[in-house]
Amino acid sequence: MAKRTGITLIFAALLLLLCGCSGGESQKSTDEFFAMDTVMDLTAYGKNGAAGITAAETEINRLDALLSVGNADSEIARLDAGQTTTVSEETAALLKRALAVSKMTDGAYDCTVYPLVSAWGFFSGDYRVPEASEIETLLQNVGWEKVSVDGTAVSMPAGTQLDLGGIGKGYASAQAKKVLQDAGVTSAIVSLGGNISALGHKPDGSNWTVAIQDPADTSTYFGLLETADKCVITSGGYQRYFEQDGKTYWHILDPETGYPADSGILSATVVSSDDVLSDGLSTALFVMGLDKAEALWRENSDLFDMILMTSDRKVYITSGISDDFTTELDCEVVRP
Amino acid sequence: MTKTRKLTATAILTAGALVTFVIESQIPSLTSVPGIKLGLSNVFTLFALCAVGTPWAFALLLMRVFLGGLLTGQTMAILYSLSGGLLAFGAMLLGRRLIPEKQLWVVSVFGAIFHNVGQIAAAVVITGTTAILYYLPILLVSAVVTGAFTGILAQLVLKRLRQSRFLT
Amino acid sequence: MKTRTWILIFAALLLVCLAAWFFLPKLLQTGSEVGIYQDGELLKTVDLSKVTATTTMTVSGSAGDNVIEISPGSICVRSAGCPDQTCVKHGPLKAGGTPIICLPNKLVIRWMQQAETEYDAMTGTEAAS
Repeated sequence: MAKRTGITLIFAALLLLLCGCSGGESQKSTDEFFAMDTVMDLTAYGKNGAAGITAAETEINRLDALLSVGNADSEIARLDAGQTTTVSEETAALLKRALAVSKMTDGAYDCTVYPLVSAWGFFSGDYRVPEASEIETLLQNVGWEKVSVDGTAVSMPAGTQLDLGGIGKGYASAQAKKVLQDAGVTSAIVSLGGNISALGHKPDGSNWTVAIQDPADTSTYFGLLETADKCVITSGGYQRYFEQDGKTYWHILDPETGYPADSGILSATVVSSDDVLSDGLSTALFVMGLDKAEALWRENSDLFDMILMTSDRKVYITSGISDDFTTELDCEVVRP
Repeated sequence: MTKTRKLTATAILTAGALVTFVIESQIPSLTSVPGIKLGLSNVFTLFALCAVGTPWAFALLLMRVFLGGLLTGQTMAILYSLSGGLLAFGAMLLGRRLIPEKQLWVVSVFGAIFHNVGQIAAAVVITGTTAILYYLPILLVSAVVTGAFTGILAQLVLKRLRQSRFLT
Repeated sequence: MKTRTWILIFAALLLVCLAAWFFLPKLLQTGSEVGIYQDGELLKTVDLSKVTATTTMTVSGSAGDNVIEISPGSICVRSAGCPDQTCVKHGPLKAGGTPIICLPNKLVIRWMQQAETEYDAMTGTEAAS
């Protein structure tokens, strides 16, 4: 009798512990892995979460292999090396989008700046300040208008090189969300190298809270944004830079001058349901500066919203999301 | 026992409890919280409960807590000792009523368990966070083990003393 | 109750506690956000994966100052004014490990659960590894 009681008790204790592990709809599955030269963090809720995340990781790795300039076998790398002039339909479609965003931002985002960024050493880590003459020469090959896509055929002059890295993570997060949705996930949030994208709401129906990184202290934030089903992507020179002779040079170059963009913006955040657009725009807005950014938004206020921090640490936010944002800093609302 | 005998017995047991307390203070804390102890001296309180009487055992507890705190120079720890000691006292009092003396080790285990619960509760209140609760599982493990060992010891000693008619 | 029953009950309790001791920390830790608390109040949240340079933070209390060192991926108490030095001896906060506690100063440094971090995600890049 005592033996039975005791054994039942032990079983009950173990069962209790096991139950504590799962939890139905609020069950959380997470995954962290390295891809596209950065850390990918996926979080999905619900019973399909684990399967969805595995599928999402596979998809992101597939895109990395397809598009990354750092991977010699990728379509883009082979295109740049002159080994081919045709790409898959998927890559062609993405390339067309890159060109469209380049056009929309009047070249502030330009998918052909690769040779320039490379010359500054931002890919290899061997940072250097190129001579003005070198920059002049490289600028000759920069220009999105030089690229044309016809079906799956891509033509561009010799010397012009493509890099879809500026929108690659955006495309990856859009695809990841699609894959998660196909797996039956309705609530998830991913961070692809700091590009945040949310699928649906949190399991309890509330909005996600996304912190916007503070350029002055990357371990903390300067504001909190509530959002659902959208992506939040921030670009800033503070994310990758080097110092030489007392001057700071960052990785976001102005495609017109060939030098680090110096428009007075410290951090540009774009919020939208179009991840590809957001990724490209965040870079573009950093290059464009406050006035041009405001003008661009007024023409496209139904497509995206933005949060900009200027070098005086003042924050500008568009009216579409201003109600969802909290900050301690001086903040001005940009209206249509 | 005559009152004089009870007084003497309590004094001897208090001395024993204090020595044990000071020695166990030298053992590095299981937790990163200073002052949380194994609670080995608890067994003296239990023994006093069985051999001398409830009010005497309570006096022993109070003396052990305060003198022990002064002796080890850790006045902060007095709060934990008190909290743990009082809870353990209550648990053992109840346990003695429900559990026969030939299973005294069970009462000792409960005493040890509640001793640790009391210490953790005091720590949570003092630090203001519930982070200390992380240590509860491991403390309970040590409580069961130390409580059982010291309890069996007390049980055996008590049995012999009663058999030899030294105690009634 | 038979002695054997008691033994089984305590054995079950031991099992649960040991299991909890091993699994609970890993279950609860959901990210790289660390919270620095004093007297139950959250002083600062730090995302260790986003720290790029080593900084220090001093917290003062009734037992002197605790100098907290925050480095990329790690946090620890470098020095403290309290007599025990248990917080310094704890070393860096480890994944699935115990919190760093300085009782005299009521200082607690631990991983934060998702429910209590103020945000679900943060934009921007991680520190270059």
